[in-house]
Formats: sequence, structure tokens, C-alpha cells
Amino acid sequence: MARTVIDAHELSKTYTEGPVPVEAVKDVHLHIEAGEFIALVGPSGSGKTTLLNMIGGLDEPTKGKVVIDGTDITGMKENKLIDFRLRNIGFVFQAYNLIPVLTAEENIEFIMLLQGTDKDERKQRVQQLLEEVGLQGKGSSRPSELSGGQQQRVAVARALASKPKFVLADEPTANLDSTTAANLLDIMEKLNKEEGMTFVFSTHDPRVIQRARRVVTLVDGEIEKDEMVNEPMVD
Amino acid sequence: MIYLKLAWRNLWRNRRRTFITVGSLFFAVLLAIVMFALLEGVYGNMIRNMAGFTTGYLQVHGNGYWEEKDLDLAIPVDEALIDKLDHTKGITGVMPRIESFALASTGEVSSPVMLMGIDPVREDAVNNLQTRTRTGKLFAANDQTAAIGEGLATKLSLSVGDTLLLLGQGYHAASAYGKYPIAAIIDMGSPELSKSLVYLPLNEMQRYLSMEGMVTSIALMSAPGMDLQKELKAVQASIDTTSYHVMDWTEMMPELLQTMQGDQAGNRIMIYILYMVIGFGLFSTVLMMLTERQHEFGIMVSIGTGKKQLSRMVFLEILLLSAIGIILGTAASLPILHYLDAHPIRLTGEIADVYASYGFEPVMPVLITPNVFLSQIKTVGLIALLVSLYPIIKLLRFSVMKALRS
Ligand SMILES: Nc1ncnc2c1ncn2[C@@H]1O[C@H](COP(=O)(O)OP(=O)(O)OP(=O)(O)O)[C@@H](O)[C@H]1O
Ligand SMILES: [Mg+2]
Repeated sequence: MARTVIDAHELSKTYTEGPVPVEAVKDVHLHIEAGEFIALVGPSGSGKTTLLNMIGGLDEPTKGKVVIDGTDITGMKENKLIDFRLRNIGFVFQAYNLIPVLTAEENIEFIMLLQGTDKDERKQRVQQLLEEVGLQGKGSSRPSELSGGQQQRVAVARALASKPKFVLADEPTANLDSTTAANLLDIMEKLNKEEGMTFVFSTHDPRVIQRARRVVTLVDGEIEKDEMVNEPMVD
Repeated sequence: MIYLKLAWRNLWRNRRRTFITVGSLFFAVLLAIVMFALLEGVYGNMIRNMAGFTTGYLQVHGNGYWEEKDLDLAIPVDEALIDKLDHTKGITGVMPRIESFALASTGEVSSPVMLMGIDPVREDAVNNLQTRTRTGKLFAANDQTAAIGEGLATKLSLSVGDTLLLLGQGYHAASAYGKYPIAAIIDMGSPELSKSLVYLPLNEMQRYLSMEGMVTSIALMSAPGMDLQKELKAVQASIDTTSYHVMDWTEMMPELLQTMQGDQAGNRIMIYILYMVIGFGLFSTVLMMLTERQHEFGIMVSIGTGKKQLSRMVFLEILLLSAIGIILGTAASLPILHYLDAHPIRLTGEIADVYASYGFEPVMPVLITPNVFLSQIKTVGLIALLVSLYPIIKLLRFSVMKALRS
């Protein structure tokens, strides 16, 4: 049996900032194992982002706990948590992922600088990652000089640069047209297959859902369905 | 390094704003330096005039002389001592003197006067007595004549060639009596001195008071704007401080210092207002910078950038921004100060008359010393540091979730 990388236990989140408290996530149990390629789906407002943020150590659960690869991150001190994210979790957000003043290469390298990776290794890994996401030759472009799809690919490369335990992607294709979206999914799938990288992503897009091997459906903050999908055909 | 790179590039994201901020810093620093140099120049000039005629910037005298003003506390002086002082670092003028009081009389009218025995060459070098001579000609070292202020000349109706009788008390209570032809009538620099000062050659003064080889004080001058305390120490180091005492003008003329400080405080309000403008300008730039980059900071912290690192980046941005403004402003002030030094601003009208009554040329000189620049650079730098406190505190506390949502 594969290693459990994410273990969400009785996870709940209630937002009390508004006039009425909102139970965004209710009593969610979720085990994710190394090497999974899993989609979080559900209608708008169903709690996908909230769940992903708690799993990623960005938001604190009201109840329950999150264990990442054996480490309970619930209630961890902020500075420790930032460092934990740096070393264990890769993030891809919906848009504006990149530091605008850094080039594609520098954005990827930045994570490794934070980790204290030495220069030779950084340079080598940056090139390798650019190649893996099909952006060789684009390394010295600033984000503003890249298309939306290219920017998301750089974000994926950056997420991988830190050699994380898994990558969390909240609607990574939401701002992309369908061809570009498919292309990004291809890359993620390839990285999943070839390097065994675990991907957890949320999406509304049926064509993206199709590509997942496990689909977790949220409704009103609760897991309604959690199903394995047959391995898609590979040619 | 990466933070410096980030900071530098972030500065040029909003070029217009950066130019405006740098521009306001530039003008503020420029103005502050020029104003400060002018103020220091004007006050420096006043102090120099005052000190030159009266106490000197520094003064060497016998222990206790300053408090007692007693001729019996005079000090022996010889070439060796004068030479030593001449060669003390920073000292540009050495004026051995005897100061005393006497009753001056023309036979018909009399008036109490301040008597000062001076070395005419040394005194002229500091106080330009030759150019200030209105009628007659300043005496030479071995003459037996007197030079008096214009005010006194008027008061006693004296003109060059007339005889002045002096009656006073000499060394060890000897009685002193002298009779001197007037050689020169001099514009003394201040109305006070003009009405009461009588110069005699030092040699003659020593004879008149029966105190050959002695002086009551040695007034010292240095280049304006220099560090007086450093020079005071240098003087103390070069003489025997068990028998000589050294004082600076602020101790000897505390009222002058006070007046000047009060005056300067008023003038500096202008500069402080300038600083406030700089502070608020910088602060609003920083505020905008922070608000519009919330989302980006959120991303950075999400992927693992520590808040300290984030603060360092923002701090560097503010530091660079201020440094550019300060450096450019300082650089631009150099040619302006240089020009003002060569072509000082001329005063006209009432102020010019006031200046004239003190025997000053009615111009505003500038004082160009490292302190003129350093004090402004330090202050503006400090403002930048203070302004950067706010974003740093803000960043150390900010919430990733809120930032990501913005
Ligand atoms: N900071 C917040 N304060 C109050 N309520 C919030 C906050 N964030 C989210 N919510 C609420 O929690 C619920 C879940 O929101 P969430 O963003 O997790 O949904 P989602 O599934 O990601 O939606 P979408 O598909 O539109 O992105 C919603 O009802 C939302 O209004
Ligand atoms: Mg969402």
C-alpha cells in the first residue's frame, strides 16, 4: 500500500466574519496517497477552495486536523508553517501566481533560493523543469510576456522545484481556453506518471474532471461522492 | 542578493510613482541642504565676527582669569608658546592680548573704556582692522599710539591726531597713566564695541600697565564650521594645562549661544516642515505600494517566503528609493552651494542696514562643511527608516488568506 501523504480528519471550517456564520467545510475525512491524481469538484461555494487551503496549511480548520506525511500541521506556529509549506507543498493558484518582476527562470529558482539549494543544482533544475513543462527558451521572459497557459506552466514548474510531497492546484485551468487547459493537464499527468508526483486540484471543467483518476465531489461543504475512475486509456 | 534584485526591480514597476517620490526627496534634500548651509553661513559669520573681536573661538588664559578678570592672573607669554599655538592643528589665528578697563579723557570729556593691547599684525589677519580703518592708519607693533572705535570717537569728539588720556590700574595695583595720540578710527563690528573699545599696541600696553612679557589672554581662531571641541583638545594637548586654562566661546558667551539657538530654532521650522512633507510623501508611496501588492505578498508567503524576508525586501525598496533621492539631492546641491559661495546672495533694505551697523558686508555667505550634508542626509535617512517601520510591522502581521483573496 502506498504512503499516505495527506490525512484530513474530521475537518470543519466555519467562517464567522459575516453576519451569519458559514459552514464552508463540514466534517470532511480525506486520505490521499502518494502518486494520486485527484480532482476536487462541486458547485460554486461548495468548499473546494476552503478545503484545499486547509490541506495546504494556508487556513486553519475550526475543527479536526490535517496530517501531512506524518506531521500534524494543525495549530503549527506561523513561521514554522511557512517553512513547512516551503519544504513540503507545491502551490498552483488560479491566476497571477508568479512574481511579476522575476523572469520565468527566476520564479522557479526563487523557491530553491528560499530552500538554500546551491547554485549549480538550482540552475540545472530550472532548465530541467522548463523543459518538462515545454518552455525551454522562455526562461528569461517576464510573466507579462507569457500567455496565461505559459504562466500556469511556469507555476507548475515552480511548484515542483521545491521537490514537494504533493502539489495543490486550485482551479489551475479556470482562466485558460480548452486547448491550453488540456495542454496543462497533459503536463501535470506526465509529471504524475513519470515522477510519481501527487496532484490535488479543484475544477469545474468536465474535460479536466475526465482526466482525474479519483474524483471527490463536495456539496455544501460535505463529501458527497469519492470515486476511483478507471485509468484513462494510454497510447 | 535576490531581495536586493527584487527590491530594485519593484521600484521600477511604477516608474511614474518612483520618479515622483524620488523627485520630492530630491528637492527636499536639496532645499534642506542649501537652507542649512545658508543658515550656518549667516550664523557662522556672526559668531566669527563676535568671537574675533572679543573672546576668540577658543581662549587660553590663566587659571581663574575668566571668572575674576584680574590683571594679576595674567600669564607670561613668549615666542615659544605663541609658536606652539600657531602650529596646533586646526588653529588659524593666534592673538595674544591684554584686556583691561580705564577712564579715557580728552581733558574736557571722559568715558569709561575697554582697553585692549593687541599685536596689530595678528589682529588684522583675523579682524581686517586695516580695511575697517575709517580714518588714519593702524599703528605698528612698536608705535605708541592708540586706535579707537568710531562710536567712541563721536562720543568724545576725537579725530586722528588728537590726544587721549588713559587712567587706570596696572599690574599689582600699580597706577597706570598714559597719553596717546589717536592713530586710527576703526569700524569695530558692533555698536557696543564701537562705543567703548580702545586698542593699544601690546608692547605699549605692557609698559603702560607695568606687566612686560605678560598677557591676560590669547584668543584663538579656527576655520568656521570646524569641530571646536576637537581643536580645544588639540590646544589642551599642546600647552601646559596646569597653568593655562582653555575655554571655547560657548562657555565664554553663553548669551550669544542662547540667542543664536533661539533664532535658529525659528529658522529651522522651515526645514522641519520640509522633513514632514518628505515623510508623508514617502509614507503615502509606501502605503500604495503595500496595498496594491497584497495578492502578490499572499502568493509569496503561500509558497514559503518568510515574513522577515518579505519585510527585508520592502525595507530595501524604501531604502533604495530614499537613497536615490538623497544622493541626487546632495549631488545637485554641490554646484548650487559652490555658486552661492562664489556669488553670495546680497541683502538689501533694512536688513542690509542692520548688517552694516554691525560692520558686516550685507551678504548671506554659505558654510560648506561635511556636517551641512551629513546632518541632512542623516535626518532624511532617519525619516526613511521610521517610515519603513509601518510596512514592516504590517507585513509581519498580515494574513495570507486575506491577502490571497484580494
Ligand atoms: N473568508 C470568508 N468569509 C466568509 N465566508 C467565506 C469566506 N471564504 C469562503 N466563504 C464561504 O464559504 C463557502 C465555501 O467557499 P469556497 O471558496 O471554499 O467555495 P468553492 O467551492 O471554492 O467555490 P468556487 O467554485 O466558487 O471557487 C462559500 O459559501 C463562501 O461564501
Ligand atoms: Mg474556489
